[in-house]
Amino acid sequence: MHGNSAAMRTDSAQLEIFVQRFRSITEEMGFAVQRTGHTAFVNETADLGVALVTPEGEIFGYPQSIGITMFANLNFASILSEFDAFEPGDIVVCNDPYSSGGLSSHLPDVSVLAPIFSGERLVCFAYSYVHSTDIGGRVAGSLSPSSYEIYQEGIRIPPTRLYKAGELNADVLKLILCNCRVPDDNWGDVKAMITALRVAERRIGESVDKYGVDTFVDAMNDVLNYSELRARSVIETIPDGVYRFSDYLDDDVVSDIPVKFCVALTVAGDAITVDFTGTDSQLRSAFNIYSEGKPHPWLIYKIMFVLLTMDQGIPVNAGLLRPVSVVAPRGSLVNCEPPAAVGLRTTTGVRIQDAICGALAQAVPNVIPAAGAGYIAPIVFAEPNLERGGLKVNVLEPMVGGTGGHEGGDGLNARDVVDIANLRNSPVEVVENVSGVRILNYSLRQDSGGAGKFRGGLGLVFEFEVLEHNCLVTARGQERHRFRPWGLNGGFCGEKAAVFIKRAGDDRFNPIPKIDSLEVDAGDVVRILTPGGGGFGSPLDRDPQSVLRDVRNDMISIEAARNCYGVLIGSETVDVEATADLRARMKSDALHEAFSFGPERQTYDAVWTDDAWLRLMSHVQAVPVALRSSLRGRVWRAAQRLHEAEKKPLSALDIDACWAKITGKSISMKVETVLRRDVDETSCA
Amino acid sequence: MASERFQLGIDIGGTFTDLSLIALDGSEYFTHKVASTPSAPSKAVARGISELLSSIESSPRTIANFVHGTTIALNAVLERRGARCALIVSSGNRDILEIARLRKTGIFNLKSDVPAPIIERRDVIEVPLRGDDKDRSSLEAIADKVLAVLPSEIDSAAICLLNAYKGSDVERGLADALCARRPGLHISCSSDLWPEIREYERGSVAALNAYVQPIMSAYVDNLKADTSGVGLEAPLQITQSNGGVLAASSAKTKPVNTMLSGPASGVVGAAFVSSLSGVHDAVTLDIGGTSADFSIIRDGQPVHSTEAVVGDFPLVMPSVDVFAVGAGGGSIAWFDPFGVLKLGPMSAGAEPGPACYGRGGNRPTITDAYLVSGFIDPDRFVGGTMQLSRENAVKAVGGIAEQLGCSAEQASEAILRLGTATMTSAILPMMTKRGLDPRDFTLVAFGGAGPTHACLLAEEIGIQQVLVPPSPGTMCALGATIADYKSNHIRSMRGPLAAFSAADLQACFAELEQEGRDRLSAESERIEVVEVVRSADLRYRGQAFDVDVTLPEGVRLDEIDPDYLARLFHETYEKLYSNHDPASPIELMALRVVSTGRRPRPDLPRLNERHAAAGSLEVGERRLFYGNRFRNAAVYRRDALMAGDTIAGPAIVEQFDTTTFIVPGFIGACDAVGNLLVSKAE
Repeated sequence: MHGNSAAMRTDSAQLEIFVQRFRSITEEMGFAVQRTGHTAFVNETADLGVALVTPEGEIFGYPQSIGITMFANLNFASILSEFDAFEPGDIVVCNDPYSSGGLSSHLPDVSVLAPIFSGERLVCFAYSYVHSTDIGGRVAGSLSPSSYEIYQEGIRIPPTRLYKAGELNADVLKLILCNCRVPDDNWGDVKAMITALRVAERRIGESVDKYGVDTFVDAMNDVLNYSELRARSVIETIPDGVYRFSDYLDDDVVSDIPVKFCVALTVAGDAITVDFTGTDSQLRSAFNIYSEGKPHPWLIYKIMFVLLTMDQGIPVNAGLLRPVSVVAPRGSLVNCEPPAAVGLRTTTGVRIQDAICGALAQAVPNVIPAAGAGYIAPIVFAEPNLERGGLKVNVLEPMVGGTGGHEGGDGLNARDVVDIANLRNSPVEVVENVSGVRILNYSLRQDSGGAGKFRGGLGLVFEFEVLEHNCLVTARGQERHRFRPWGLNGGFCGEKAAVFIKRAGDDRFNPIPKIDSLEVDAGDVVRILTPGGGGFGSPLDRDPQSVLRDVRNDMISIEAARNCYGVLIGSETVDVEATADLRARMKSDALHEAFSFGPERQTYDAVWTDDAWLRLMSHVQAVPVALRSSLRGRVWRAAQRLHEAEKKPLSALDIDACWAKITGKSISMKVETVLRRDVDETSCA
Repeated sequence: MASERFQLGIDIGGTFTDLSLIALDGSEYFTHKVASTPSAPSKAVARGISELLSSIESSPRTIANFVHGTTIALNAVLERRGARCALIVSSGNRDILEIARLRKTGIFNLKSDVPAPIIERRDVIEVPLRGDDKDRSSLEAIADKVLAVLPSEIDSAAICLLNAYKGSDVERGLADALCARRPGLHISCSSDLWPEIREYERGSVAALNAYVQPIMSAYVDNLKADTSGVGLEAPLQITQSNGGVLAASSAKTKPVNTMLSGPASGVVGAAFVSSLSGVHDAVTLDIGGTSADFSIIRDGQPVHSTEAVVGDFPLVMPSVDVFAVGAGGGSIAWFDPFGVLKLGPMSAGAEPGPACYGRGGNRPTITDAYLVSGFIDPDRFVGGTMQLSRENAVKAVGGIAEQLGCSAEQASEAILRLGTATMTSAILPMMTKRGLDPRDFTLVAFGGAGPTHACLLAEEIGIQQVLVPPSPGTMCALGATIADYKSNHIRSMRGPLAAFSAADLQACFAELEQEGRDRLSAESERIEVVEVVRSADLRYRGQAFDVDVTLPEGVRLDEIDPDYLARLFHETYEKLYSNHDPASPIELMALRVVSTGRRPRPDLPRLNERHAAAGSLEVGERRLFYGNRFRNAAVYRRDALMAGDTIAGPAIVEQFDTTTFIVPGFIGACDAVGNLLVSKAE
């Protein structure tokens, strides 16, 4: 069904009725999961999903008011191909990305799938997943950035019939639950999902009875065609071209080497291709994404949001993303090979979307906001459980930052990335009730939003005092501690993230690196700052009254008003004349560049030129996957050393030289002297 | 001599102000409508009262009680017309309203906005104080500091301190210190209004209250002046979002409680008339100009929700659970650029209104589709006071017909099918969310178009029975007339249920009940009985949602202990979800008490039965289009129906403010109360 849609069979007066029914059925399913599910993720992040799926494996019914928003084009073709036939009463369970085409994109996402029949005829499938609190593996909660094999991340369940013709396979269930730390909750979640599948079965039965199975099947295909048609006509309004952009994760946790994402996004007529060539190779940490080389939601979900921003009436289903294809090199971060760990794919996926938006911003600058904080990190607090022994573990708050400013509006404060899962926070009063902390500050971070005609949204300040002894804080997903969220069209970049600690007895805060696992004790105070979004448009074009309002509300300081916006404020009013003068002077000095990345990235990019990076990746991609991570690291260090000696940007030839040296081939003497030291050090280490 | 023999209820809508007058002995029931006067709403009230009383030749002194429903507080929030006010919070909590719960509306839209808080950040004042501080010696000094920065033009402030859900002493102490220093400053304390854990939601309640308090206060004073101008001196009560009423003086200080009272009163009225016919479980359907509003009645009582929203803000105190779907009489049908027929969310509203109103609207609406289909008579709309143009309607719908390649009637049917589907798709998830199946319920239809569409919806969902009350256009006014005094009280008590002692639970309930009695006795001396319903919010450990477990009537306080609540919880859970887990530990979240002071509840006058000799009750016949063909339908007049009359569909029943359409296969029966019960034929 790809390519231009076939003529629709469904009556044009009926199509909308089916669009609504399909959505409505999935929303009923979602509420059923949420009402009866057990694990915390159901509440805190609504990290659950439901869908109706065609026999070919495309989602045709998807909820909008509940659950994860970004999985509307999950592809079921792989999981369906694992089975020769289905019969009524079958329920398949699965959590293994590698045997389900990435349907579950990390192991905690336990998926269930049931065929729905009308008599003998298979009509469609109902699907649900819940992010389980724990699915086994080397750490509680199953997710750790430093895991490097999927085996460390929990039990792997390949597509398996948990129920066969209505009969529970108790042995399989026992095997699964035996491998999990919270088996009762896991089973509770599975039961909740089965409730949702039953809801779908009943409602679809009613629809098939009312409209007839042929009409129903036509409608199923036509809502997909309809979304595709609308998506294509939106894409047609985007100027054709190849738009390139790249963005970084600060590092891969196990080293300080930045992780790079390269995107070449081609708009051609009514289709989009996203080529990830040049993107980093798969890592020996948990940041990898298994995409099967297909347009997996984690590679392109923001394109769905862009299309829906441009046409809010497109029904949300897999048809919407039919016009999008990807080139995702095997063994790269966006198409890893087993047994790479994938637990932290959210961190990666979020930054990939920043890279895609940077590319699209060049095509439709009036639609795309500047970069948001690109940061989502639950602050997890573990303390001794004094009543029951062991540890008590709770999420204090999910940390997020501001969204980017955009043509027509400021960014939102502390709302970036919340859109992927209908995220919500926890009330301070509840947090203090269950955890041994006192929250001293949970507020917006002044001056963190990038200045712009439309200002970036502010990040957060979160500060808590530890009340118990021997506690541990973790915060997977902290990012943008090094590279800032970029500004767009003359807007400034947002402020980067930071963490501070004031140990008991100290009188001031000291900066510390991003939190991996931080030991804390009673009296310590931890302060976490999240990034603001980038600004859009020159801050010198911002309405001075808006600047005044921001100053009055302490969103920006009076100094920022002067230094970034050129607005002088005295006694609660704008000094109009002085402001005009100052702005005129600042305008003549201002550089007008499409993107503002901030000094950290400019410095890094100046060393690691595109040529140098692409050459490194082409070498790395040429060796077997098992060797890539190590060679990438060693050659990167060698090149970095070379740069430090020569104080010059790296070239492709420099990389060739370093590569040759590390892999044992001869090279010019000049580079060799520098490299020898590096190699010696490496071999000593 | 004119003795007090009536109860008066008045509801102000956008177009009409409705009055409902019931004799205390149930012998008489009058309704009346006057055009609203939006710039000075109490003028229409005064006019309506004098018109109604003179039409029945009665004097204002015959009115014992006067209950009024108003949307003044709601509109002030929706239109952002409230007062500039301040919010006083604990240090570090300045952005309680900005951060909210991190939610974002328009989740698929990269450019969507988050509504600006009703109190600007600059008017949020941090104080080094928490709601559970034991040391209160600094209150006076803190009050001085607050007043030093509080702008002089602000005379309404909210206080929401962290942990104030544990008790109101600190907030109250600060409020007193502030008022002593600046008399005339009105303070809304979160711990007084709704002491539930969750600072954003509690703060939002306090902020909303502070925001609308000055407007509500002025409005109540004006209303009193205007109604005493026409001689009405009966005590004034205002309806509340919880479906009850409170004295006007309470509404002045706690206007947040009135925020969603309009739709709530309609449901209270519907519950009342339905129960007179023995219908105790119902889904209500109120179709107005822009939306179809649904709510649920169980065991004769409106179901409450703690997840209501006002504009963009949460309202966590229990309010009658009403959810609106964007399919009303004015909803516009249109084609998208791909040739797919759509309905709404744009509405023609009251101005210009549907095409058939002839006020310049030319886009096809649901109302136009009713007219073209023959469900409503253009000559008898609102009792014939408003002439509709069939020509305009046919022309408007004609555009749709042309594109679909069908007749105007077929196009109208397509529009109505889409309307029905929109309602169905909204209501089914809402019911599932609440663990209910609509097929177990009667559909109670009111509002201008509820009775016109009810059978269509019942057929679609599989509902077996529709009930149309005698006066479907004045349900809110009726609800106001008969509503009880009602006061909700909560205490957050969090922890493993088993860790609480029986004494803890009993003491907490006793305190809440005392609060309820105190509150109601302050309301009125006329309160007949105070009824108390106790409930507990419980969940299995690890779950995210509470189940509201209501304790049965008649349970003695000393019978309540953790085991008892656990047993009730398992039973309730089993009823809701068809499973329960006796081994799972249970967590207590909160205890609640609802205190109800009964007002005299009149009966409605009974209809006579028809004599055999009375002849046919049919007044005419109309050709209408339904099920893709023309049919002849008998037309009846509602006010001519008598107890025991039955009507087989297809049929039309006309009355002043609405038209009921009985589809083929359904039979309507009028009972002694005057309710029209339309059921699927066997």
